Amino acid sequence: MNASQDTAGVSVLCVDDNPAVARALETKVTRSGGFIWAGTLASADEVVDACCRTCPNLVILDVDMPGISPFEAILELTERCPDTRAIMFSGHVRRDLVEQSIDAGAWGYVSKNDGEDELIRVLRRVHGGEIAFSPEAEVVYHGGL
Amino acid sequence: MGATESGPDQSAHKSLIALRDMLAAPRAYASSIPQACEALTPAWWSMFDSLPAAVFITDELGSLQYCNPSAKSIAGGVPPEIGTPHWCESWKHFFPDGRPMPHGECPMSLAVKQGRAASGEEIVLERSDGKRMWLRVHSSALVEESREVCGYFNMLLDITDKRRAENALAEQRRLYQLSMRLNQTETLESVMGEVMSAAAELLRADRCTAQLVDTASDSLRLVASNGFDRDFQDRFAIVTGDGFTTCAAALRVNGQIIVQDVANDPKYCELASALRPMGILSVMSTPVRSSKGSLLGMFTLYWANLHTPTEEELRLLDLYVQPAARLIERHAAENAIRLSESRLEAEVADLESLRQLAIRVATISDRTAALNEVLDTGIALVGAAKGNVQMYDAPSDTLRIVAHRGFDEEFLDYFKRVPAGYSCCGKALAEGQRVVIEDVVSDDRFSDLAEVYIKHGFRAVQSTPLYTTEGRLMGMFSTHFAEPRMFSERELRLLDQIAQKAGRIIERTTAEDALREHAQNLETLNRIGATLSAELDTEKVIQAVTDAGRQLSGAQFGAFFLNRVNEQDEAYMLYTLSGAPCEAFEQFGAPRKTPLFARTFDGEGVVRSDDITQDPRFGKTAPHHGMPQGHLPVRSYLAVPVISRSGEVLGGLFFGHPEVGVFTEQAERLVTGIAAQAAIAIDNASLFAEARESEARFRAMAENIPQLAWMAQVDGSLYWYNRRWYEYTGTTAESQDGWGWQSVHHPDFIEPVTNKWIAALKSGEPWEDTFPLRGADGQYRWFLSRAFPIRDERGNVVRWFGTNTDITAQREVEEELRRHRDKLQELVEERTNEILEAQQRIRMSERMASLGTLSAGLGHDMGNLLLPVRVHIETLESMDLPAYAREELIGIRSSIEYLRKLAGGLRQLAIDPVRAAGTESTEIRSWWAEASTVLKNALPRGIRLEHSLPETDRWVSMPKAALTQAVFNLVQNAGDALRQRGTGTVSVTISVVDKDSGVHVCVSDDGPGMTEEVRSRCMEPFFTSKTRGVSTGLGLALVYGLVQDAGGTIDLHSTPGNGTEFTLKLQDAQPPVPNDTPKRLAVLDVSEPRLRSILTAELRSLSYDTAFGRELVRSADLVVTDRPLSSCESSIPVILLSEPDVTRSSAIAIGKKPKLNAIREALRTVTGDKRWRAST
Repeated sequence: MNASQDTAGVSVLCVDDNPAVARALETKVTRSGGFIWAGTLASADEVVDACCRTCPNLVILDVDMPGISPFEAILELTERCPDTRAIMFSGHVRRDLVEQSIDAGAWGYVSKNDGEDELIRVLRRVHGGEIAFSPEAEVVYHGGL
Repeated sequence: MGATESGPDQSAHKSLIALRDMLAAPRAYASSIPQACEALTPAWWSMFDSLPAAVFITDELGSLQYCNPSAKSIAGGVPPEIGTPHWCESWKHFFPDGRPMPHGECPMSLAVKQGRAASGEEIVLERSDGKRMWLRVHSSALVEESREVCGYFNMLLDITDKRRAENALAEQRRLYQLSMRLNQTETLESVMGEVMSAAAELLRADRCTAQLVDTASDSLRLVASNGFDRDFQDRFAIVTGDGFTTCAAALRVNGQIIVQDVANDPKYCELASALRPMGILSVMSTPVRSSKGSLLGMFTLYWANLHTPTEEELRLLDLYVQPAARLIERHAAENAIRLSESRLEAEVADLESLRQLAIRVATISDRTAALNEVLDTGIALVGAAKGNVQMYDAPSDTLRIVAHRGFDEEFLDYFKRVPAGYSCCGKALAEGQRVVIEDVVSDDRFSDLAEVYIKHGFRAVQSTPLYTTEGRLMGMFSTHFAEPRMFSERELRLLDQIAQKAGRIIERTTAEDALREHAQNLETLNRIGATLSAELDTEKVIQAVTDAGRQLSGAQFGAFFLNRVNEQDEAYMLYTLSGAPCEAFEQFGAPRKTPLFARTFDGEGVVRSDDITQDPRFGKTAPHHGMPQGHLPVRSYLAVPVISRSGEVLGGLFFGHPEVGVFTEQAERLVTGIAAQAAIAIDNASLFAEARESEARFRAMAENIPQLAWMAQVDGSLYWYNRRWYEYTGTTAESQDGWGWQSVHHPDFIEPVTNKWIAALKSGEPWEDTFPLRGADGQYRWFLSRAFPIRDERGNVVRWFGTNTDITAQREVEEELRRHRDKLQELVEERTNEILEAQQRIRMSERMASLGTLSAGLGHDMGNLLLPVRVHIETLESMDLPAYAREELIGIRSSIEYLRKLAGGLRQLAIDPVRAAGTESTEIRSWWAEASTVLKNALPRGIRLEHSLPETDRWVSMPKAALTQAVFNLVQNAGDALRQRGTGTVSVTISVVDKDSGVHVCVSDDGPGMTEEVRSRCMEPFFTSKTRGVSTGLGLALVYGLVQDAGGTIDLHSTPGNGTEFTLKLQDAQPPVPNDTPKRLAVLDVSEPRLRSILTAELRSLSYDTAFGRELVRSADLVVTDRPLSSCESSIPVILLSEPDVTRSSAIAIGKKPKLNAIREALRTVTGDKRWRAST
């Protein structure tokens, strides 16, 4: 599969309060064939407004951030910007968090411990219309801890 | 991504814009909305009809002209009819915070009335069926070309689900915050205050109160309030069940009371008048109940408006009240434990005091000293100010103080002799039982004594009678208290024990005193006898007799008159005088033969009178008619004739005292004895006879005392025993004579007793010893034995007099006391240890929890840090770099990989082992690859970690995190053992012994090894051989628990000097095999792509192949669809993504937007249902 063709022009917005992580993700994502970087937010407070304005295809959200809960943000996002798909990217991988994300309307969950390559894989699958998880999150989602 | 996939909200928005644009175009509409509507093409109407948002269009007066199907659904299926004026006013409206919104002030009405457009304002609407909906309102005027308003366009978005979820979240947050605040409160009052404030805020009450139940008085005590002034708080500080308030009513019924309109409720007229000035209309009292249902407290809320709490509010209020109930119950339990501990301590202290007292008084022979000890202990034990012990004098029926503490002279004088019935002690004497005055001021029985008592500094008194072992009242034990007070059962019990003690002392010392006194008197008589027998001068003899008689009788003066009458005046001749000069008699002349004196000189007997002036014979003779003027004053009178052996009256001994009642019966006997001695001078032969008679009397008395008594010669051989001795020992006089007494001694005691006796004989000091003596029944009983030397006038010991007092019962009581004390001490220690251990456990588990949090945070932060580093390295790698730089990058890469594993390991250590425990299995080789990094880091510098693994993949039945934590703790322990030495090796050997015995994970070190004690106890929680602070003492206990949970066992080999080896024997687990059950086919007919993807993933995990499209339904094992199937397709299980009321009965309907749990539940039902399985 030619990844860069599938994802050509797909815009990605990132919400992470750690600027170093956000910058690294920008580098990684833009380098991974065709993705367009739509910008970075430090909290979930403005993510809905930002999505309504710029309509990104994908949003990467950290779970543990100051401000409003990312789950609330996703709930509102699915209501107001149904075209934008949210993917959680977090160091905390617990069953309750993953299930809460999916119930709120997220399309995927990636463990930071599984690494950035996994994130790219999940971004592609979600863009392809599937919900997707990194390995650690997958185990948890299907009956792990 | 096509337009068909955009959400309903957005398409509605776009449609709306289109509509507005069209209406704004000048040629598109005429002068009114119906006309404008007519201008719309059918396509537009169908678009309105398909809008998920409710649309209401009115004319310029607000009369409804159109509403779409979504409007019907918002209205609960019954929309306002077309043409209704003020269409929106048929519903109740509320502000988002729950306040009612006045009619006509909803944004839709305001748009009509005030031309104010609404854009996204939020309201709550209550439909006719009672259901509340949260709506976002867009309302705007439709303006004609002429700028006149021709109608209004209203769009209402249903956001009920979202608000419900938010409210539930807020409710959880408030509950959490409340419980956090409660955790920080210390008193029940502040607990109640916190809960009260939270409840008032929740129910939007204007004022509130909180009360606690006082179980003793069954009343409610106000502990917190908000919004009430001091007067109100004072007035309702205590509320009982007969009050008129709602809390009183709630107390009566032990249930909730809600009064919606207090002013118009006939049951609460009085309450209404109290609340009216404050403008309160509604009241609600909610009880706080214990887990057993008993009432603990009450919260009462007050509203200035008419308020009826909703079911939801009542449910939430219940959630708030529960933590308060739990905290009150916990408080009560803690208080009960404290109370019982302090009671226990008090009992131990009391018993200890009594035991000490028993030990002390056993060795005190002086009565007053012993009774003072008893008084001191008694006063201290019951906290009295003063106290006394009285003895009962039967002839006068009075009580006489023999020991006292804390009284002044005036009191002692006033209460020197207390007659029966007078004061507290006299009343106790009269009634024969204890009398308690709790407060003399309020005690009608003693109102006449109140002044006396208060003057001497006491208000409360108790008097407890003392009884002999035969049950005869012999005295009184009283304690006096400065303040009014009541007596607890414990105190009364103590007083009884002390009184008993005092009684035993009086009994014992009385017997001893009597014996000693008689022994001493006997000795005096013997001494006089010896003196007289050696003295030939008659006058000296008689002078000695007179002096001795005066001393022994206690007379102030004494005289001897010869039975010879002077011929001139018939007077008797004064021979000797004692205690007064001769001149005192000479001037009056000698006594004559008056009726009083005649009795003596006629040898008719002794005359003893307490007051001679009251004697009928006194004052009958002239000339003096009594004593001559100036005569020595005589009230007490004792006259004894001295009669020779032949019966001749030789003369008379006369003794006198100016006070009444001086001469006792004993004095009379003594003087009689002396008179007999006096006769020696005249009749030497009768002297010895008299002396023997006297000794016989002594013996007769000694025969009758309750103790065993005996007399011994100077050489220690016993020559006389009393009757009690023979009765007790069952021996005869022959067998006991001399040293025969040894035969009734216990063999173990003969030697020490004999040695001590011989030592006393040598020194001449009183002898005392305690030993068992064998009774006639063969049983030994314990005796306290004493003997006194009896000396002659030169001080030489002439014989010994001894007694044995049975103290077996006393010893048994002491032994019993000691046993009780030991038992109580043991219980107190046990309880103390339990508390200490529980505290230790709490501290340790808190520490473990904080270590877990720390390592989770550390792992998480490291992961966050490594991500950018990896990306930057990747960037560098993609550049054209020189070879050496690439090598550096490889080095950095491997360090990053190391850190990544370390972070993973730290996170595994943080996983709660209790949650991790389960049947999850772990592959050992891949586990090692992940975990070894963090294990290495557990070792101090200089300690190596070696390992050996099985050659092929091997699965064990233990969760990964649990295995990591177990091995980590063992490696860390091994490292600690080697730390001091600084070098050494820790080995982790994972081996497969044989097919059946599972996998052995062996952690060994070459350290100092364990002692036997450490080895046997090291798995106990909180046991540690390390310094506290270095170790939690939980490590090995944790390992033990983890391995046990996984069904494994632990072996431990360790000897000092030979290292330590732990072997975890874990059960084999099967590797997860790909599911080879025949694949079944699930057909998904779901249009929403995300939902379809979620379903696909779930079905695959359940071994279903998935296919899409309705045409495949006939070949499916399971169908998931968002559109109902026709009935001919009903033979297969169906999960329907829509509301239940439109489904077939056999399909499972889970709604249009099901939650993950609902999906999984439905799949479980379908795949676990035998009916469906049979068809596949």
